Amino acid sequence: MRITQNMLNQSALDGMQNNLKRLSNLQKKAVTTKRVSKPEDDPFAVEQSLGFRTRLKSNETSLRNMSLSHDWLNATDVALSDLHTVLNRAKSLALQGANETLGTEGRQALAAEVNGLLEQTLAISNTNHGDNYLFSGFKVDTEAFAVTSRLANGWIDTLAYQGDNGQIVREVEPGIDMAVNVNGDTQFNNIFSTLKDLRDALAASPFDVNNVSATMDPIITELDNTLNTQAVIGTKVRRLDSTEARLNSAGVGIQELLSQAEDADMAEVVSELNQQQFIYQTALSVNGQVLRRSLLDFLG
Amino acid sequence: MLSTFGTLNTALTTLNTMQRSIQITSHNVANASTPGYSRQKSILTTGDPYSAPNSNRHVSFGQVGTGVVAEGIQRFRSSFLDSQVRNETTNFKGWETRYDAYQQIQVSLNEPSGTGLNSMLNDFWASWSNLAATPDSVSARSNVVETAVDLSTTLRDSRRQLTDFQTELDDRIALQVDEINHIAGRIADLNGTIREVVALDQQPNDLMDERDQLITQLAEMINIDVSETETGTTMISVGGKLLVMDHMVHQMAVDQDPANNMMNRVVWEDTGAVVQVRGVSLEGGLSAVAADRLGGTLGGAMLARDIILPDKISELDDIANALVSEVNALHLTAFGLDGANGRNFFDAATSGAHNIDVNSTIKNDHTLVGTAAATDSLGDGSVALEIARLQSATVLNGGTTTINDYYRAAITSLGQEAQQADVMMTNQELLVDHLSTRQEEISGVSLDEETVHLLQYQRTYQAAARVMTTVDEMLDKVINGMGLVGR
Repeated sequence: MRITQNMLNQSALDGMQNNLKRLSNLQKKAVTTKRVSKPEDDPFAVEQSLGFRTRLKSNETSLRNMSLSHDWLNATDVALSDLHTVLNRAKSLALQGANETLGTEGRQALAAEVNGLLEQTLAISNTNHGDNYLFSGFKVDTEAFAVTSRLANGWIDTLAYQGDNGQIVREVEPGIDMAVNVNGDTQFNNIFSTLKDLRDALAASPFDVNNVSATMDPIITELDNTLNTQAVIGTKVRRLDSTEARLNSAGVGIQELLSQAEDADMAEVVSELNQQQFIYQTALSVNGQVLRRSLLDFLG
Repeated sequence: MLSTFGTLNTALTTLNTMQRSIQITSHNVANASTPGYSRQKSILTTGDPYSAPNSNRHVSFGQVGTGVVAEGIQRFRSSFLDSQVRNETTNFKGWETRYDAYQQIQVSLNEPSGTGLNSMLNDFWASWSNLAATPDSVSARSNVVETAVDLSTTLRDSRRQLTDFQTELDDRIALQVDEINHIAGRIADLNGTIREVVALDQQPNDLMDERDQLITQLAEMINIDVSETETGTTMISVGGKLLVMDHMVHQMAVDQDPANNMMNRVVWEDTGAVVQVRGVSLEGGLSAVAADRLGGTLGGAMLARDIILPDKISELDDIANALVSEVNALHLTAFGLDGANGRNFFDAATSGAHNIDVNSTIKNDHTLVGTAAATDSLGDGSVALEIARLQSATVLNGGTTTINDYYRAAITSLGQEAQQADVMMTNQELLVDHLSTRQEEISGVSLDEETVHLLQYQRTYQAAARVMTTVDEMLDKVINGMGLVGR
């Protein structure tokens, strides 16, 4: 097989080109710290990487939404705790009032306090969280209850529910929903009427102690209802907490997988880079020696 | 008696022949690095011997040689290798062009990155999810609109880059047809000249080298069949029809194909018939079968323009159309902050990724973005939630794939196709290099070899000159020294 100078030259050039190509790839990896910069570098890794990024974003959104729901539920819980206090007070007032021996003045005082409790309940029902009313269903910009008429002495006569029956549903994690609001109508209506009954019974003349005692059971029922509602909220909050913990650790896991798919192992890259530079230098030196010689060097 | 002057003549012819041989060696050395040069060598044969008459017998002993004759100049070239190199070069250039197309597409789509379509889609779904959690918020609505505008812009831009590339390929095809005609013309001219030289019984070696170079250039662009005739001219045909025959050329041309968006198709200028290469017509409607047969930069450009790019463009269109129809269907039922519904979120006139845009009414008034299922339900984000959940709705591929997964699969297959093109291209390149090396083995100039020849010829020249001197002295003796007895 004949060998010509051109073949030696070409082979030297090709070899150096290939070396440089490998060097260039390694350099790019080292500078960008990514092992894939185009789909063709590793189609499977890119497929995974795109999927992981989508899941990470989805995770992030879920966590943010959960935090909003968490806040809403907490605010509701606080309001309901206040309500609980009010109802307890009402219960002890009812107990006091179911006494024949209390005079008219005493009973009037009790009635006035119960009216105060009524106003307090009204305020609680219109609790505001951020810009939204907690108990108005979908009508979050409208107060849940409004006084429609007052008595001559300024006491509340009738109230009307201004919200609707909307269930505010939030996504907890992809595909899983949770209703976060408490319906103001069902929660407060009976409380208002029971408190009104108590107040009116206490202020009534002629006074009938039975009317006062008759409000005890309803008050206790409402106390239980409120506790139940709080229990339900508590369960939801705990569920949110555990989902949050789970999503957080899943997020870390996905982040790791994403890094595995996308990021270059810097130690490996640097080591390969050094090796390739050495190979390139060797090739250059060998070529330099081989290409120089020909027969003419040795003829006279 | 043998002729004295005959010997002189032998020496003289030797001097001439060696001079000629050295000239050829010098030509080789000068062209050692010239691309496409085939080394030449003088063909030396012995001159015709003759039988010398003799007074005692019919002829004297042995036949007498008459020295060396330079019969011609041999050109070291393997036409078989040439045709192999040509064919593999066509294939190589075809794959190289296709690989370049894939590179371009990958740059346009820019994945994986934080600004590619995948990220835009993710942000889009997230914005609806955030709106669903705060459905009375105006700023959440603005976020939805702005994210959607970014998404639409990205879709439009990506598609435009792909269609711009198609146009560029289209122009390139026209340019290459011009180039083919130009090269064919030059080959035809060379054919004419070569034929004349061959008719004079000479070897137009350098002209043939030049012609071979041109034919290889032609092969880079399109699949050709080459055959040589007895008159020394070559016939080049494309798809069974003659492109070049002797000094005549059948030119190619481009005209606009109405069946393919008025893009270029390649036709024969004289008949207007579409050029066929290996059974594939160079016009719109190329099939996957064509992908196996068309080579060269022209073939590769047509494949990229008519198969590779339309594939990706239609994928983008599918995504845009699915987005628009699914989001709009839900949004029409959604009530905005003004308590009304019945508005499209995306422009209803959208027909693909080239004109997808957010409805201008909504762009002008972000409060019109709908979230609720009924009027006067500010806290209701249920329809916005349904829109956000379109992320996992299987709306493409006949209801089996989500939009995100469809796009992911498109990118993955792009990567795989590009990888395959890279492998094919690299393999072809190696094959062409290997064959070129074999060509070089036969046709290449080895400086060491030429140096040895040079020595050979030089010494022979010197020896022949020495013979001449000897004969000259002998003659001198005969002419000037004989018959002088007693003078």
